[in-house]
Amino acid sequence: MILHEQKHNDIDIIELSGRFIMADTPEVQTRLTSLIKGGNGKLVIDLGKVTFIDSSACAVLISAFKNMQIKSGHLVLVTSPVVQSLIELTRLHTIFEISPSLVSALDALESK
Amino acid sequence: MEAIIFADRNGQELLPLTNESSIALLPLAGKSILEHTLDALVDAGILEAHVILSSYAEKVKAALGHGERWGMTLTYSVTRGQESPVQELARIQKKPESPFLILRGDVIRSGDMKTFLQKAASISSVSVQALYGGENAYMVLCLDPLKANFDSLKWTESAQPLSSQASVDVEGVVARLDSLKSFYQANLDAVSGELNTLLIPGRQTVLGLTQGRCSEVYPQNLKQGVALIGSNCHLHESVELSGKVVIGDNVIVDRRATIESSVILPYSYVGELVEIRNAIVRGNDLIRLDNGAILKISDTFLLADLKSATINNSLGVFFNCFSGVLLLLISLPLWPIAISLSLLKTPRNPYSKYWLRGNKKELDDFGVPHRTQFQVGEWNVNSPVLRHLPRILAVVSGDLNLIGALPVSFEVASRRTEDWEKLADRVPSGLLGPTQLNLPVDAPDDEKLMSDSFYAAHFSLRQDLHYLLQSVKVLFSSRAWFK
Repeated sequence: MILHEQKHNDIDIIELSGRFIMADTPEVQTRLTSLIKGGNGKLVIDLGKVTFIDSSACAVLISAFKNMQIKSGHLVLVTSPVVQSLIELTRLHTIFEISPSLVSALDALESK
Repeated sequence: MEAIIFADRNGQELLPLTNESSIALLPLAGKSILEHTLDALVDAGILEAHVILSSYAEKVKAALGHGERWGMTLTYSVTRGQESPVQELARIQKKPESPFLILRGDVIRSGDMKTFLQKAASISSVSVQALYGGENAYMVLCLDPLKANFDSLKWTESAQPLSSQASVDVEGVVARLDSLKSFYQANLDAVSGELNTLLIPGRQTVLGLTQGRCSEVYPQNLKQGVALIGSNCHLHESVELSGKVVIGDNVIVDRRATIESSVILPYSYVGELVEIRNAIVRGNDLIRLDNGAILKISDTFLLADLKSATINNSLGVFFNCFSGVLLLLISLPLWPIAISLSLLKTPRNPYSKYWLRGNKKELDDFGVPHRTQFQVGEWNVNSPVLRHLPRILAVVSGDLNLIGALPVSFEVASRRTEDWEKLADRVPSGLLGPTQLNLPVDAPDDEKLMSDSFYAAHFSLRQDLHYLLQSVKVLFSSRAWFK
């Protein structure tokens, strides 16, 4: 899995690509925790290029969501079709704000 | 023209009907609520629609598919539910071309959509709100999405006062379905023809009696009033229907039962001599509209849920108990080793006990089934296999399945309040399973929960066999024996 971080105004963006599985979770968890801690409460996790996601990876997303809630911030997910179908299957769409593209995710966060 | 349909109400106001379904899928006079909206769109010549869903989105998609049944094209997106229509529109990937129709699919409206569209098109405004009989019809014709006013589409618990935006009032009725009483009344109004533009399935066999295909209904069943009987229903010839009655698909009504002004939802059994009046029946739930009581009937001779797979459950219990006994016999040589090592390690406390939530169910005072808890022990040794040997006894007793989700205590289970957290509770707990086999004991609770949610989402016999084979493989690995 490849991790890439960038910033758009006050919004942090973390882009993941490839397979996001249990072996990758410690690294992603650490990066997300530090981004949330040091950020402005606006984060986009771009999973648009993720080809596979497992339950451990979903747990990392939930952990990021909870950390962001503590900070009263906003987290938006950008999903690929594979990730989207798994998120719907596990009903995580009822807690995550999901955008179909990075542009619309940034638009949504800029208006907050 | 395209349509955007909001069907993302959370449905708290229609509990308990929405504890297994979204509002969009609730049956109303032989069809789901969302299907009535699709019928109206097709009638108005709109064959392309994007549906915005929330809870039970996967069930809605499975039920409607891509819209082939209506000759239309349906696409979907999901939200957290009841969010601002403006935000939701911004999130849709394929923006509709103006003008487009935007409407709620989780309310019922009976009126001429074509007339509204014709009149609205002649008004020069960025958006035109639909009123049916002077009431908000939760429908807007949008000409400029950036300037349009979508406030009338937003779902609120009580009906909002009408906004000052341009509107067209056509003859019709709107049922907000904002309470059980409203849902009940909309069903009765549909069968009596008061929601006259709804397409009700079935054919009229005698005056006032409409029935679906493959249903066994007798003309003498209808004593007075009107009744709609769904498909694959069986009513005994001595059954009496009066007032306005709606019976959904796959319902059995036994001899000399009396149903008056009631709604019987699909897959329900109404027992012999039972009298139902002014009520909604869903399986073994009896919802009285006259006094507001919601009762769970535990006696299956009175009311029963025909979806309960009793044969499969019985076979499953037998298989699990049998495999538990087999496993206990195979593991017998390990017990003295576990006891000895445990005594050597902690002579004063070699065995500890705790309570877990099992798979057996008991009815509480209100007749609601709840999973019971059972006491289980473990040997105080480091080896995972030896430590959890006593759990085999729980498989023998039927408290645990051989394969299932990680068993948790009542305390942990009670902390699961969100929809996604409860998904894992839909499957039985087991001695072995993906969480027990693949995750370390000290993994975070969220990770264990997600693992069980994945298991629940993909639950199948084939998957269980896979985990059974994996268990055998793990048994021969060092991590099963040494921590």
